[in-house]
Amino acid sequence: MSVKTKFIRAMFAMMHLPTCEEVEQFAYDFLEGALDSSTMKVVGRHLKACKNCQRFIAAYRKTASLGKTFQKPSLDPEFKEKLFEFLSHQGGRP
Amino acid sequence: MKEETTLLEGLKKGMESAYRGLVEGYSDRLFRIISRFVRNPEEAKEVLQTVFLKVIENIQKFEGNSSLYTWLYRIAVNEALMRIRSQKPRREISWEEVLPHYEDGIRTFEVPDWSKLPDQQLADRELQLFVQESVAELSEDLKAAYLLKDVEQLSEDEVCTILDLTKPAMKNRVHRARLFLRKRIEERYVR
Ligand SMILES: [Zn+2]
Repeated sequence: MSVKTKFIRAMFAMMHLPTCEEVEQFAYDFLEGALDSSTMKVVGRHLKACKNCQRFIAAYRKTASLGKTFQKPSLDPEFKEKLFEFLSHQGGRP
Repeated sequence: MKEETTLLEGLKKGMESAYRGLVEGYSDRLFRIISRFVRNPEEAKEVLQTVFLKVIENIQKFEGNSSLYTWLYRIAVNEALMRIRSQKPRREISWEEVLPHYEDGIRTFEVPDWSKLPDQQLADRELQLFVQESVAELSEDLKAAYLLKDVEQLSEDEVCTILDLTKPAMKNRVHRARLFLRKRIEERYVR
């Protein structure tokens, strides 16, 4: 344990703020807006005081939103017709 | 919901109109989720056909405990996973490298600044392909949770039902997948 991290930890504890590790554990719910208001408040105050966690949350938020930009493959109508014929054929069997 | 019930009854009776409804209403969505796992379109089509076959084979057993839609998704995800299971083994992820490092719960390394990575670049085709390659490296568990939640944008409840997970387990998987992808992007595009 380094003196520096010990000091920062003590400072967060004194201010009744979560540690960086706890902030990471809250990240999912933080993005969903699912934290209760008192937790939200202390996480927000930690972020104000901690550049690393600020950067982490910004990167985490961007990563989470990346999935939305994935291309959406679609089926051609011919294949849909084939599927329908396949189903009618299979479904008619005992 | 009423439409789903009518469709379900039709499928149980083997009605052609119901097969039509199944294809029209669900084939695009199911093809999309299958394609996230099985990236070759022709192969994804084969999987979709198998999914529909399973659906009509098992439709009598479907009791409606979940919605038809989540049941279909569940079959599609399982079939897709089965298909990629036979592919070349992916390399093991070193979580040691991916998970953030803490000392006394405090971050010990400087976190790279993503503001240097413009939003525009995040939408670039090249980066998207890179992310998709990285998704392929995830374990099945994390991949399925990530694809349903962050890519398909399903609700938490839907993801839990489809993957048969508790909410905390689902969140944990999505979280770890995000941590992994963040790390991959950072190594390549940030700094
Ligand atoms: Zn912090």
